[in-house]
Amino acid sequence: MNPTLVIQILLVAAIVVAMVRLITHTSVRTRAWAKILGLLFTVFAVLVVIFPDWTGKIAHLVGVGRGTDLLLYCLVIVVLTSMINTSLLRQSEQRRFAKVVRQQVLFQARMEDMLSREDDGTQV
Amino acid sequence: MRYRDTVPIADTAIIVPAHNEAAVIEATIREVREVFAHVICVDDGSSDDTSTQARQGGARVLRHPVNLGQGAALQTGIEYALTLPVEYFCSFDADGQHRVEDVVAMRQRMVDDPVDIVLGSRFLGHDPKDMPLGKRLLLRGAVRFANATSGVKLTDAHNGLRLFNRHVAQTIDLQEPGYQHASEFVARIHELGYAVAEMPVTIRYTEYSLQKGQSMMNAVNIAADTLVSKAVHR
Repeated sequence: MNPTLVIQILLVAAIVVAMVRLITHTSVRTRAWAKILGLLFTVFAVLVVIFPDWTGKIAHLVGVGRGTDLLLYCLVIVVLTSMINTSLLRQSEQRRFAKVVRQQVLFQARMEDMLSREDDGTQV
Repeated sequence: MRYRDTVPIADTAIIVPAHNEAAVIEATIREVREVFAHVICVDDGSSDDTSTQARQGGARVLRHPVNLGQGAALQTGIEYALTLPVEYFCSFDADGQHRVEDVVAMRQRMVDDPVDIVLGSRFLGHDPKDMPLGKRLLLRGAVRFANATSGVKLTDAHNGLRLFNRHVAQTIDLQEPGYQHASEFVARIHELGYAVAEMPVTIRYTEYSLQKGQSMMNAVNIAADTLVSKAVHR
C-alpha cells in the first residue's frame, strides 16, 4: 500500500468521525472521548518533546514526509474537534438560557393575570 | 364577510412573536382582534416600543427581557396560551403578511375535519404572482430540503401560519431559538406522528414584509442549523 494513502485515510476518517459526532452527539460520551483524546495527545506530545526524531519516524510510517507536517495535521483535527465541542456547548447553553427567561416571563404573566382577576372581583 | 357575525372567536389563541415590529404590530393585531378574542403577542426583547403598540392593538403582551429568537418567542406564547380556555393555537407573523380570513378558514377546517395541525401553504393551488422569482425558487428549494431531512411530504415548509390543537401545543417543545423553528416544526410533525393537513393561504408581500423577511443568505444558515440540530430531540 502506498504510504501516503495511510495518512489520507486516517485524516479523512478523523474528519468524518468528528462530523458524524457533531450530528449524532451524546454529550456525556463526547466529553469522555475528549478527555481520552486529550490524555493521549498529552502523552504523545511529551514523548515527542523527549524524543524529537519520533515524529519523523511516525510520519514516515504513515506516509507523511516530515514530522512537522504530521503535527500540523494532528493540530487541525484538535482544533476542529474543539470548535465543534464549543459550538455544541454554546447551543445547549442558549437553550437553557431560553428556558430560564421563559419561566420568568410566564410566572410574571400569571401573576399579572391573577391580580387583574382580583381587581375585576372587587369592582363587581 | 360572514364570519364577522359570530365574532369574536374565543376557542383559538393567536400567537404573534414580534421583534422590533413597532411600525406594523398595532395594525396587525387590531385586524386579528376583530375576529379572535385571544391574541398573545410575545415581544422578543425589542428595542423599540413593540410592546406598547401591541397592547394598544389589543393583545395580551408577554415580553422577553432579552432577544431569544422567533422560535423561543413562539414557544413562550404557546406555553402561555395553554393556560387559556382555548382549543386551538395559531402562529401568526407580526409583519402583517398573513390574512385573518385564512386563519378563520383553517380553524373551520380543523372543526369540520379534525387533524392535529393545519399548515398554511403558499404553493398549494396557485402560484403567488406577487412573490419575487428568487424568493419563490428559494422556498421551493427549502421545501425539498425539509421534505428530504424530515420525511414529511409538504408543499411549503417555511410558512409562519400554522393552526394546531392542544396535543401539539403540549408536545411540540420548540428548542431552536431562531428561524430554524420552521424546519423544527416539520421535523416534529414527522417524529411525533401528528396528523397534518395543508391549506392554501395568501401571503401579502408588502414592501415592509419583504424588507423584514428572512434574507436569502439566511437560508444557508437555516439549512446548516437544521442539519446540525437533528440531534436536539433525542
